[in-house]
Amino acid sequence: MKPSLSADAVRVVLDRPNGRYLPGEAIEVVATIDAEAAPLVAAAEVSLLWYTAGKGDEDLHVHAMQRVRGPLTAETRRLTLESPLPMSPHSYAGHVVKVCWCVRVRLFDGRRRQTVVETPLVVGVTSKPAGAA
Amino acid sequence: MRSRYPLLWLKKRGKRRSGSPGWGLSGELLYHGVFIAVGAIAVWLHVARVLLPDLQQREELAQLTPAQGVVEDARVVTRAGRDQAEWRVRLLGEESEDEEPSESAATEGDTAADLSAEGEAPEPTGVTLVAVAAPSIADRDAQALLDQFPVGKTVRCWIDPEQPGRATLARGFRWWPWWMLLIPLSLVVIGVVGMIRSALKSTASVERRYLVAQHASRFDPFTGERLSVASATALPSTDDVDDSPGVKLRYRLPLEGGGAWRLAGMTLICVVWNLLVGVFLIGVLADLVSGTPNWPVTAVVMPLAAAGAWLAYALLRDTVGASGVGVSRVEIATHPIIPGQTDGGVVLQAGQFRLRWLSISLVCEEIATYCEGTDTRTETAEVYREELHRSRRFRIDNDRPFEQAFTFTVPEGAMHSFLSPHNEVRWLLEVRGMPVRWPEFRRRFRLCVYPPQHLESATEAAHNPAEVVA
Repeated sequence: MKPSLSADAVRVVLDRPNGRYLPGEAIEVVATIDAEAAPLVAAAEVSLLWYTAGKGDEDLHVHAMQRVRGPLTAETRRLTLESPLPMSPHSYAGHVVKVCWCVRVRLFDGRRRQTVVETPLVVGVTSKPAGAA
Repeated sequence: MRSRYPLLWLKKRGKRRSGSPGWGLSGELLYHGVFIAVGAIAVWLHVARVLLPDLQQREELAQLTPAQGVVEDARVVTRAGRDQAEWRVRLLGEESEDEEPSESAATEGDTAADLSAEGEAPEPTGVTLVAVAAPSIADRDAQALLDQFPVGKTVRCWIDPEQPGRATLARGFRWWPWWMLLIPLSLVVIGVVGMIRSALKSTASVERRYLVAQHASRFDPFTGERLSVASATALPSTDDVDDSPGVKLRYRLPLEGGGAWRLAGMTLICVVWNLLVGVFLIGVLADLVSGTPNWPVTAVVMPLAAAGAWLAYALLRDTVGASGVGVSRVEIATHPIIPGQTDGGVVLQAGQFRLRWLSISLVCEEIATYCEGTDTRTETAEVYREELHRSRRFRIDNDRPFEQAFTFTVPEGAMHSFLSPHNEVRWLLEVRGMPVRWPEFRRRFRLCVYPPQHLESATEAAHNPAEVVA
């Protein structure tokens, strides 16, 4: 049986270890796929996006994306995504509405199975509802 | 807590799905395949049984030559096995009346339309019209059709020069069967589109699909022009405020809508409910008057009547609140607002009444919309409220509206206004008042709170999203 991909097969590194960015700042993301897992990867995507969480249905907006097709080589298994962050929306953790920014890496194994690794980040200074301490 | 019974199905929220993707894809493909199969069979049947015979008949009719005839006999003949009325033509002298009429014509509508047409007219020839009607067609309808061709009338017809027994009263072409082809074709299109979507869903990631949708939504599908970038920035548009200058200050805030529709809905419910209850109430009262009261029915109807009375009172209260209290207006000096910024505003309240109190508040709400089964629900959470001003015990006259200036500050570090299809963070200025004799009223005016960065930068960033697809 063909081995499957796991979340350990990819390592995501942000250019800021604390993952906090101001709107408009540039962000650089490096996603490195493990050399042993690389032959199993049919395609890989790195996306910079925000999505909503909480009570409401999920809304999602992809700000930037990079995609490579397999087979991955020593060069292509290291994906770099550079982009200026937009001015809005800011990260937000409200009562029923949350806005979450993240870098999402998705690996396809060619058998309709996908492995997703998500690295959260914070955009802006807001993280609580207005008036909260 | 673990259920004692196996769970056969669970309600899914939104687009979240569970289970095997492979089985899900197979099911979707099968579902759309049924649409394609049914549509394709219907197309084939329609083409083979309707369109091709029509085309064949059209070619045959095109070879006929125009002539004129006089109606010498017209009658209704019922023939089993035909599915519609037809006109048949016989040229007098070519066949005897008892013989089967020669091959024919078209539907009654086409015949009537073509009779008015002019054409080259040879010498009049005798024509016998026979309306052949299916048993399902009423005799009077067949006769009404036949009445259009009174005996002795000269009508236009077309005859086959090689076989004069073959003639027709019409050469019209039926277009409606071609339009009917749209029905099975639409099934095929639905199936094909569904299959493509299912295949794309199974092969493309959710991020990639959203990216494609984002690109498509940036352009007007008809003009190709770039649309507003409000969805990309997740900021509400300020257009309705920019286009609304104030009298005292620069901007007049738009009143949050929805009140009129609510009132119309309440009116409809109230009228229908009370009409139904009224019918039962009349019966109950009639029984009481006649001395034979039906107490069980009375016990059921009375609570319904009480509910109807409460509905009428609520409708009256809301109507008075909406129309009795004069117009409220809120104007502000700058727009959009930035968190931490202090801005000035003024509230103007028209009307003629006395107020116990009137307050102005700055409010922030989170609004989440979600699907639960087939229902769409909305949950609202108020996360910030600050009363900016309160006036007590005063009177408003028509010639002297109430006017009160105020200042407000959106807290430093507060979340900006946020708008996405199912989630929203909304800032509002709320005017609430308690008239002396009328019910309390509340009017809300939407504010746009933007992030502290320069607005043009936000717009520019939204116009040029970074995307690299290798």
